[in-house]
Amino acid sequence: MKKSLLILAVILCATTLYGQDFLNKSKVSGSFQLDGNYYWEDNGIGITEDKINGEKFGAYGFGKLQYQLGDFSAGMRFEAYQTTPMSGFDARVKGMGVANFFATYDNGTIGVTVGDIYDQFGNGLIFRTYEEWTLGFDNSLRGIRAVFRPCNGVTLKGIYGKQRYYWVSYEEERGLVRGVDGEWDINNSIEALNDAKLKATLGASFVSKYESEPTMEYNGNIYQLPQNVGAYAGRMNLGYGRFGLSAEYARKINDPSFFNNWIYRDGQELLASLSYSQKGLGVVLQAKRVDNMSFKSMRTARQNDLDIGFIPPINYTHTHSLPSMFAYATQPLGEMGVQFQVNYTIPKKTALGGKYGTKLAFNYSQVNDIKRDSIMVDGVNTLNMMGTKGYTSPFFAIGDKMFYRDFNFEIEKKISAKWHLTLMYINLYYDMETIEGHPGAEAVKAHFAFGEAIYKINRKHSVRLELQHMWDNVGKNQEVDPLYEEYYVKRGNWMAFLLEYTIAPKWFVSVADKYNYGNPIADNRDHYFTGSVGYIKDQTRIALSGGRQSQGLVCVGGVCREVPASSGVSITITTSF
Amino acid sequence: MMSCDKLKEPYFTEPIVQQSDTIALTAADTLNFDGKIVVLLEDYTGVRCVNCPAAAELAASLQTQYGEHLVVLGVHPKTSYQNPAGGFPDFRTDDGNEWNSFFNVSAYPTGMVNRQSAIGTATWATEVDNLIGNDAPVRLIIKSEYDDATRELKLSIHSKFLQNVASDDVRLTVCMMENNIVGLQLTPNGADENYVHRHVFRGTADGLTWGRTLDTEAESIAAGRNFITNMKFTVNEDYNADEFYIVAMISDNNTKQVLMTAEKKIK
Repeated sequence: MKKSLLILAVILCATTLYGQDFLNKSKVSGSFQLDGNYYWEDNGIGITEDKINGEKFGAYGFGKLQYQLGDFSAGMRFEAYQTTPMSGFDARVKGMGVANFFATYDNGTIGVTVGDIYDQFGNGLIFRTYEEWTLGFDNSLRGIRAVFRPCNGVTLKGIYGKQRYYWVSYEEERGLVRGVDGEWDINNSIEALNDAKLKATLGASFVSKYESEPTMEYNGNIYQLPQNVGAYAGRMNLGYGRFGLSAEYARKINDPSFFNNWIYRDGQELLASLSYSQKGLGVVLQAKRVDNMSFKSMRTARQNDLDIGFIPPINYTHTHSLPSMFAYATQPLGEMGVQFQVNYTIPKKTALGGKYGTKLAFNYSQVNDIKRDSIMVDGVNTLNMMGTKGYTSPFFAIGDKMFYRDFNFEIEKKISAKWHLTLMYINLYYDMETIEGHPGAEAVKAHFAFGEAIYKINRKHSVRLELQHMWDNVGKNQEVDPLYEEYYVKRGNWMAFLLEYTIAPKWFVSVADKYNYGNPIADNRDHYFTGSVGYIKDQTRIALSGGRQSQGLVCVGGVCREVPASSGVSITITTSF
Repeated sequence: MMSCDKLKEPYFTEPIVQQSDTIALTAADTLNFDGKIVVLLEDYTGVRCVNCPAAAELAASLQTQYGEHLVVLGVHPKTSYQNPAGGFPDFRTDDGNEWNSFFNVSAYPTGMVNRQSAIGTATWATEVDNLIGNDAPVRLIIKSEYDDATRELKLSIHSKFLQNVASDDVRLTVCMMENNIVGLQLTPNGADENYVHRHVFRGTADGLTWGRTLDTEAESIAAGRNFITNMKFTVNEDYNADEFYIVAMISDNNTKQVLMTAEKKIK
């Protein structure tokens, strides 16, 4: 509270300094969101009174305010999370207060920010702070950032601070994060190269975290701990005509942690991307290798807590309700992946293209584990053993275990002024064991078909129908070991539909159902009916929905949280000014 | 690079002492305890320190005065005053050196009474006297069994708390000490090769410089709690078992202050 008063004071000072200008030149903007849920018992999908535990109402809201006057800006975000067991949020997000605030002065050459900093170096491999409301995720850095742009095309940055850890006081134990980054846009910086066909940007960064404990005792052994863990990365972006090539490589020194089972191996990560684009055609090929790259500002942190680095996912993000139940979560301890994406538009007025053209999209992505070879020490296999280097891993060798594979094909076609059609086929391999942490769970090998038709009744009214089906490799008659029933809550065949009526630009109403008719456990063959109605006016959107929500993962950028099945009504209000 | 601590293997050290069985207290052990504090006087000293023999004399006279209520430990860190080159005995230890740097001792002799602060010899007597006679917060008793043939030493250290100790990190440090070693020492009258070095600290027995935390979970230790710490190890051939002692101390690791000390001759 004291801190928000400080910001207010800064704003007030600005007022007196600028006097009359204040009213004319300053700009205030903001946004608000409120999500409310009311849960009820629903024995059909196992929502008992015990599970709700008396916490029937969940509400989550935030308000963001930003003030700008010339080179100066300041802002804050107030958060209130009244979570319930049904919401699936980490219980530690519960709380309210001014979660973030900042003040920035930036005149184009020099910029300084104090307060909570959101930023990233390159692709974020060794430093990225961001906030994701739907995940309850916020790893912002409270401290100071300085940016210096000495000449055209050159940007130097320095950051220093401590990360947000839910509502835990910044005085409490967690490491300091310090980092520098430099980026050089060669074409922008050298005038003679301004219009060169070859475009190049180079960048490099260094980030170090400090934790005070030099040793740790465990089972009577005394473990040495690095107080300073450094990570560095280099990157380049090259463009030549329609081709683009970008790559970033990062490395991190010994960083034993709870997450990596206290091994002392260096971490490394490579992310590379090659692209080609022209009118009507886009091709992207991406590759990634991650090896022991969990980088957190507290050694004992778990799950998604206090991440300093970010591992960009290179998978297609499914938004349709059935495939999105099987979203991939990136594996910081090790993964190797590729993605190949082609988008092609068959031109208008051709035999296949028809009057409006036809859009085709193909995507293939696969992620495997890395290969880990044991290190023998005095005849003892030390694979992943606490207090050792853990393993060796040949850079180009692919691990046998496949975590995820997806290939999908989509056709989107406007048939006439009234009809618009989309068809999609998805083939998915999803290693539930690794992604959801269910040891021994059978992998999902599923096919999905998706079809969507939009019919425009007139300029304002339209109807949209969506049909989906999922064929799972787990059949209806498969015997399920009673001990592992929880692994089968979303297994077996599904079908789903959604019917939506829109009165542009203000109203929409929809009904939908997901039906897990092929679940091997008869009790799980449930319908998940929902109904929604929404109203939009200017910057304000209100949506009300009710029904059942199936168990699933909510993932943003490869970072996921599990959402349990629930039943109830929810309201979402968003607005901005 | 400054902010990269690249570590070298081995990343962990195994305990240098083994688990052992409890050696029970006898009625005599408890009856001999008079409920009063035993004070620790650390004498940071050196074989090449001309003024150190006088400090050792002072420590010895205080011990004569206070008897069993004062334990003296002669600590030899790793500075030029302790350098063994030229025929001097090498009493330096890693543990002693770490204590020395932590307490910022830079002149010799320097003393510490229950690790309150580093002080010159002029105030040793006063500080010791201030503490003597206080009630002991812990009844600390060392039980030992020594086998002359194998040189195996078994220890059971019994710490019974008599007062509440408001600290979340109360530790037990187990030190080895060898008394009466004859060896070269610089004195105001020149080098004396027949000098008797007393109370020489030989390092911690278990390699834990700052000791082991008695209860890692507790926010404080309540009166009445009892801890028994057992260990066994082989006494180094270079040490004279006839003059070998174990010195144990209970300290609050947050302030480093020593609450109670005990001493036991193994033979």
